[in-house]
Amino acid sequence: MELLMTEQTADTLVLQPIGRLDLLTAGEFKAQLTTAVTEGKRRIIIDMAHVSFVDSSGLGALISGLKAARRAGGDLRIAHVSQQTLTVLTLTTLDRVLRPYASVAEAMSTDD
Amino acid sequence: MIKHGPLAETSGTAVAVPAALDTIHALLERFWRAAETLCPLKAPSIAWRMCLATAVVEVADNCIRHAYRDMPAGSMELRLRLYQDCVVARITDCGLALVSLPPPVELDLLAVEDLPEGGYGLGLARAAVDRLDYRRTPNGTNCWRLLKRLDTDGEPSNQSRSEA
Repeated sequence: MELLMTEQTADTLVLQPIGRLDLLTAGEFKAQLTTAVTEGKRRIIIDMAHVSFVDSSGLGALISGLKAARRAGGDLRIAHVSQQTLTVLTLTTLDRVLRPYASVAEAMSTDD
Repeated sequence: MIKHGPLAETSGTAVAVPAALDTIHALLERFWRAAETLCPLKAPSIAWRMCLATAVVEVADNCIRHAYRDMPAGSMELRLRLYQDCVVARITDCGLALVSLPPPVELDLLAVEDLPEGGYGLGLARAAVDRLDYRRTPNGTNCWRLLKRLDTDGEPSNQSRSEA
């Protein structure tokens, strides 16, 4: 899995993983999220447009990042999710805490 | 439900380590290509395939994480069969026996800080297919059997959600 990072503002980071977010890659992804929050990026947007598959390990990494961002007073949001990712979120009911946004712009501009 | 032999079949083995997921995805791709070639009218939608793939990968994850813990990783086998009205996936390994299927994760979605970061896998697998069975054979093999009917669409049903 590749991971592209784009700093939007001092406290906002857009991450674009490429490939599968699964047991093989989730540990590294989770560590990247933790590092980002530790370095002051408390608003994290995950652009999922190029994520081909998510399993429960990938979900765990996203939940870990969400919790870290919330603890820092920010948030983690996901955008551009595939049908498979949406199915995984729906079946676990985690779509209620990791609400998919249609675009990165919408995820950045919406206040919950 | 299964009255006739399989219309298409694909199988393969891998050492039960995380990199085996590459093999699992490759086997699923090969299976769908075989299904499209041998019986195109039976080949299910992409959404349906993704549901089955999700369940298969979760069971494979479980084998990789737990079957050979505290010992060198052994092999796992995936066999996929297309029947007239369903697809059956069988995943086997020769590792430690599963004591019992874990209960579904209870979520308090208002308390984000308390959300578990793991434990969703088998509940997710159970919800993505019509039937998920596990048995330990007398010769010490763990055998997981997943059945998904072809007459269901790929979308999660309300029943599946409530069971997740």
